[in-house]
Amino acid sequence: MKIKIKSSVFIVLMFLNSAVFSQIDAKDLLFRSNKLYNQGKIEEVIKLLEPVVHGKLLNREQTFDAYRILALSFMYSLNAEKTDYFMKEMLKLRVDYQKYPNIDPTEFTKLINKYVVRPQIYAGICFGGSSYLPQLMKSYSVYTSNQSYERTSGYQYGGFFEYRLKSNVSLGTDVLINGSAINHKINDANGWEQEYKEIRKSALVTVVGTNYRKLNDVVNVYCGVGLGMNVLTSSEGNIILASNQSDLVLQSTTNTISERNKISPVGLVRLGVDFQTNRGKIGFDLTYVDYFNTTVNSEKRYNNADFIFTNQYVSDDIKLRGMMFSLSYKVPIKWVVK
Amino acid sequence: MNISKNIIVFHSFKQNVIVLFVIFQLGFSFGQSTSNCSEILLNANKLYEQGSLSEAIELALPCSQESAPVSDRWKAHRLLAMVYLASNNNDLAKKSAEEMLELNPTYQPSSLNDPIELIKLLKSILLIPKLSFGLALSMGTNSTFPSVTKEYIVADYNKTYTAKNSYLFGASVGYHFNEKFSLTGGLYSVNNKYNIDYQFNNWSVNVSNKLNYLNLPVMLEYALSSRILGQKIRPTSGTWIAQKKLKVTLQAGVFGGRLLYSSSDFSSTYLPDNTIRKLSNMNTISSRNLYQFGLITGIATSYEVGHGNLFLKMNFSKSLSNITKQSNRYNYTELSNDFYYLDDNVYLRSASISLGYSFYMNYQVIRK
Repeated sequence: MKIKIKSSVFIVLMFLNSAVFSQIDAKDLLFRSNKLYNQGKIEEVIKLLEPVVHGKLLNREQTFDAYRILALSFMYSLNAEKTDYFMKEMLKLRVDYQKYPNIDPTEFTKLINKYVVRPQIYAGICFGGSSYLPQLMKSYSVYTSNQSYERTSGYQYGGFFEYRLKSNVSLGTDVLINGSAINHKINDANGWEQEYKEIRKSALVTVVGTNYRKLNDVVNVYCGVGLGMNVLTSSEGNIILASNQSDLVLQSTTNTISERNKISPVGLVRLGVDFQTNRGKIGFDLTYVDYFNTTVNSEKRYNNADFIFTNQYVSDDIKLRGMMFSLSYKVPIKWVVK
Repeated sequence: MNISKNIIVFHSFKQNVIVLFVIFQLGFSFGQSTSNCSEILLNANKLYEQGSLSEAIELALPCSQESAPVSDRWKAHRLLAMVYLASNNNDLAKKSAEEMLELNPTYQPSSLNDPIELIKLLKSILLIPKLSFGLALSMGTNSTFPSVTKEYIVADYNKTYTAKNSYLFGASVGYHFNEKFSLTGGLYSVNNKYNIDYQFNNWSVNVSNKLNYLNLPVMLEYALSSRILGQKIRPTSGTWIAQKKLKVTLQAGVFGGRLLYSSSDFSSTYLPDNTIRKLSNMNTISSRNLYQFGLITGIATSYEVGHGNLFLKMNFSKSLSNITKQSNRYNYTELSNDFYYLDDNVYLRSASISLGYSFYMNYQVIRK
């Protein structure tokens, strides 16, 4: 048992030792390479660093330093292909190097500033409110009195990915959880005031093409168009009947999801502005959403006979349209160096 | 090897050019155009390496002005910090290092290119997040404690209110004024649940209430110092990390909320034969006040992870608004007739424990 413990301790110590020594080796290697470079011994720098630069000896920061020394060395040895390769590698590791460079030789600065370094994929989160005003397509009301659909407020939150096809054009996908409502008022339903409210929850998946315009180093404005699919997950209707003659109020609630179109294609147009921060971008946008089909599944409109006869209420054919206001935050998760 | 020789010749030629260049520069004003800063800084760096510190400073200073491009200002401040350190001018070195971090707070020093004194100096500067964006979630740890100020009954009975657990989630934005004080605002979907039980004339009634609010809290936060906590945590590698990885924060503020939906389940049991009458999922939004306002306080602990922190918050909120719309109290004859129920004047109090992550969007240097 004792021997086992001793041998385990020995193995751990050996492992720690080798890790410490590999760091010393790496530092020593870089310092030696840097010294050789400063002495103009470029061939020796390349011989020393190139074989180990892709290994596990160097950590991320040391790898960056190694790429930089190699890029400088290959530039002075007039090897354009290798210079290009190592410059790209160093820019991939430190994407803001053009903005925050070391004091490099002028020709190196000129070369490195020719590369375009930009985010390729963003990931983000967003949340906000919405305002919907349904559009009546066909009325099925049993009453002919004045009636109206009121503007309702809702909310949405979720996440998104954005792929930059160019520096100013992107294709993105949003996955949003939506809460919205429908509010239908009938002023005179045989001596009653009738108010129908439907609370809807859904998942909205969209694909949006966006064009960005840079106003300055910090601010971008953007506009986008897209298509999406709204998947209804719950829908609850509540009707309140208030007597016009007395204080009597009756109400009932029903689950309406089985009579609704669960999947609705949507179109959307988006306008927004975003602000660059040290890490990612904060955006404010306004999205106009138009549902292409009606909320009610016409084949199942009369399925809930009890509710219809008790309350004398039949759901109309309406299409939802409205505005979503969102606050978003996104960070680049992949960069491209060209 | 010919190339190496050529480069050495090129370097020694350059050194001569630099000396001439410095003489030329000193003879004129410092109003250099920013376009040649790259070359100037290269020369200033050579002077620094040769030990001509005051000449290096004079050459680099104009490139550190606001009018210069960010990349040149960055290089100039870095060089000036190194030169000032070498000339034992610690105050100016610190000022330059602070300027460096103002420009690039996420800078990771290089042990190869940055002198050890500069790395130490950068690590000594306190950098805190300026704007942060957080996401919080509380599952089953948001408890609602209703406070009844006036009870309304239609028979001789006493109502018993029971707190229930539910959820909350949402996002927040924080602005840090300094190391101690910050302001946070957020948007949270808060689900409040509570039960009411009462008995009369062989009937036992249970009412289960659910209210979902969209709350907007605004809180002032005060970070307790590590000394108060009796600990001193060393900064991790890199310069941008705040000095204390673990922080405890006290919070206090106000909140406003908009009721999104409200529903109740009514169940009455006739005790002699256990006959049950139910009214489920009744939308009660029209009997509620749509808006609420109140006070909120709490304590949060956060731990730096990556470019942000993981946090655990314990909040207590007290609404100053009655949830019942008093004008509609007697409108629901169905409820008063069948369940002998009337809404009381109820003020909600909530206690929640939420877990989340806050992203740092940018940083500020604390100059002392």
